[in-house]
Amino acid sequence: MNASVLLQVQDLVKNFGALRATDHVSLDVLHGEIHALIGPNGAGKTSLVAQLSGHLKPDSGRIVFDQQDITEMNTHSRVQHGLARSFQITRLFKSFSVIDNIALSVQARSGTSFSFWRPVRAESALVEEAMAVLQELGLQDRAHDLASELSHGEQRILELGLALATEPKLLLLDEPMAGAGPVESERILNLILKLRAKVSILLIEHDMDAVFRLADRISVLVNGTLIATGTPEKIRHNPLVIAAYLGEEHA
Amino acid sequence: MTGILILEQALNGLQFGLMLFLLASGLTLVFGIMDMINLAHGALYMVGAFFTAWLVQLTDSFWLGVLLAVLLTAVVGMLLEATLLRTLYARDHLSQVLATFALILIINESVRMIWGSDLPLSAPQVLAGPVELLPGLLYSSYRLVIIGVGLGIALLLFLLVTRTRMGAWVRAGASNREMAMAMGINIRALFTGVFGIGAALCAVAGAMLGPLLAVQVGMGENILILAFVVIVIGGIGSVWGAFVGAILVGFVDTLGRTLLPFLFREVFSPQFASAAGPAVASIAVYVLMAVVLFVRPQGLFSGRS
Amino acid sequence: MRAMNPKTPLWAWLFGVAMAIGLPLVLHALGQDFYISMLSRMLIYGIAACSLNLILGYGGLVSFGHAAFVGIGAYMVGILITEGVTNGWLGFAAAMGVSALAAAIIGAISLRTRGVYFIMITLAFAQMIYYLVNSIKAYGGDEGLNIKRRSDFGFGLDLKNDLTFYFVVLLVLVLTLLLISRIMHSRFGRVIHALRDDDVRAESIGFAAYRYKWVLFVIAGTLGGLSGALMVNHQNYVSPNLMHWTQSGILMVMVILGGVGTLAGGLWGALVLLILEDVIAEYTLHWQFYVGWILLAVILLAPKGLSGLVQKFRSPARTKDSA
Repeated sequence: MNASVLLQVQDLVKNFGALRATDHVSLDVLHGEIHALIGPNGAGKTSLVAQLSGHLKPDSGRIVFDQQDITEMNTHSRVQHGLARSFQITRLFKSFSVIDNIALSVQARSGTSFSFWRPVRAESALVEEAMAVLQELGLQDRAHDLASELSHGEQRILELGLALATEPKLLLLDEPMAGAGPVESERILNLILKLRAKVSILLIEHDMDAVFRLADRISVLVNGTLIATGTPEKIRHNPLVIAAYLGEEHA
Repeated sequence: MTGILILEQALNGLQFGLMLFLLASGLTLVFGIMDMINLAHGALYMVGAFFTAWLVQLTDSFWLGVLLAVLLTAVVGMLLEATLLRTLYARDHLSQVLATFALILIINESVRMIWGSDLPLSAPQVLAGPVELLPGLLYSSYRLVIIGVGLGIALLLFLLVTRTRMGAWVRAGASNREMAMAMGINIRALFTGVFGIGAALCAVAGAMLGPLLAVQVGMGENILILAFVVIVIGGIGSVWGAFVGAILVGFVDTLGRTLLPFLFREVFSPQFASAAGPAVASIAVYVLMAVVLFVRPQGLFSGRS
Repeated sequence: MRAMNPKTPLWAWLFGVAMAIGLPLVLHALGQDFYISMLSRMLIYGIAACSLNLILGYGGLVSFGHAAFVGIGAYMVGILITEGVTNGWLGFAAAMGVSALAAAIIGAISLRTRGVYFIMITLAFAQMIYYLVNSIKAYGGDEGLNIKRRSDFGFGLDLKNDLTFYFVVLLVLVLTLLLISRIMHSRFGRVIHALRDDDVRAESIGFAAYRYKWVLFVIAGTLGGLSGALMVNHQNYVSPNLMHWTQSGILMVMVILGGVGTLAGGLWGALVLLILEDVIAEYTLHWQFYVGWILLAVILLAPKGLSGLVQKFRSPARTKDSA
């Protein structure tokens, strides 16, 4: 296997009763690339990401991450190995402040949390690292507000931040800009661009402009089947893709 | 340990199981359709038994008393649902547990205030004697009647759920509530109706078991747990699951209490057997539940989609 | 660092401490030792309720079998004393050890389930233990077990003395609250809070949810066993009824009444419920009727319990961390 391949999905299949959500999908994500996954609604993109993050068990197929077979690995172990995910529908720790949300991710990867006596507030290292992440996200001014008090767009940024703070090798981003306004979407887009080459990214997104600005490669999923993979230029001119997807969009 | 004894215990198991089914079916429907844990279900069973004991005395007729008691309990159940329980559907399970627990306290004491801690209830005179089913097997005719009533109601319930329009609504609601509502089914009336039927079934069980188990305050608490075990085994929302689960639990519990100590005495030393036998017998049902949950966590026949 | 949970107001703490130390001394001076014994009972239930609050309030796990651990603790001490082992240190260690073991096993199995199945299976386990103990005739069976002596901790402490016993209970309560406070402010406590907010998300940033819940469950069970050890000493008696599921229900009521997820919520709830019970029982046999209505009102109108109500009347301070 090519050493620059970080994630390799081999022949993944997932059925929900009669519905085949993932139909023998094979794709890979290279080190340092931003790989976009697009497709019409219901194509099975989120199901695929869920299988990669461990939230859904595939019926057959293999997932190899960083030269290790992680098909049977549970979610939290995958995160420990550097595979983190953000969710399409925002899942934050609502009763925590913004900085404490990030601090949780930092805590998860730094030392054991089976520590019962020492107050966690005294750990300045956690706070500093969390603050650094917030600076990157541009949320440092909101550090001590409750996560539930953020605007929707800011919550999407924090959502991304939670995954980012685990210091992953591969980020699975499920529609990071979903529901965010134009200003926040631009922020998220720039954030992802900044991450390029530092973190590999598999990105589900509907916004075609964003996809073409961000992606090194694009894979197109239709009805659970991968119909094309390639550079944005190739995909743009791929007749199958145009017929199945882009054609509807630009009609 | 004769074959006769085993047969007799098997019949007892069937009888108890059928009564458990009456309780469990109402419980599983309420749980499956309204997604509500109702701890007060056992209290309705008790109320049914008390109404029966009281009305049998008033009317001097067992079956008339039972009929009236069942109707009254159904009304009480529907009133409860329409006023109080309805507000709990949207709440989390913990709130439902605590609110219905509070309801148990209220209902228990209300019964105590009205009728006292217990009421006498005996089986009708004509059924007081035994019937010879097989040579050497004398079985209580009253218990036979219970079995008959239980089977009859089970049949009626199945017809209701599978053949009638209401039954179709119930099954639709059990598997997918939002869809049922979207299809225009009057959910509120359906819920009240389901609850009323559940209460009526409780009352039948309470009335039938009253002469055997004694009509007293608190009788609901112990049988409620068994009903929950039944629906966990059978699958939440499934009436057929409640039936299979109830018969299973009835057999395991009743036969277990006779057979297990006997088996233990055959295999182990007498001291160990006399200590362990009854102990294991009493937890047999729970072990069964744990095994089912381990093998098939959603129950044997899950009604939920 | 926050010294105390901001949800329970300072004046309540000070009042509580004053009452806790002053009241029994006054009662003793007045020769009313019976009331001191009643106070001890309330504090013991407070410890039990606080232990349940760990998993119910902080953990969000609706365990309907917590009374089993209380009962196990009580029976361990009761059995040991019956067999002649009156050393309190040994007895209490055994009580906590066995409840910890039981919690480890029950938790390992139950925590694989979610939602209503979790409630059902914890309930079933508690009933299992209830019936098991009920059938052990050697230690009283359904009639219960009387013990003739109380635990002996040395240092010249005579636990038969109501005032002495009270202060021992108070000490245990304070230590329990201190322990719970440290735990909930630690890294472990953070994870538990996170799990309650969104356990899927917590897994998704790398926390093995099941392990944390299991450890919490074991801690709660151990503290429950501790309260049981105190309880059997207080009543010189233990019966399987202590483990009946309705007893678990009463503990849950205490947690809810006092305020779910606040440090001393279980304690306040125990106090309120038991005082209500004693006061109403003075006037009528049917005190459960009135308690039932009060509980219903609290559930429907004040879902966060009495602590939530108190918070509402003060300034609407939001829960914010302090930098």
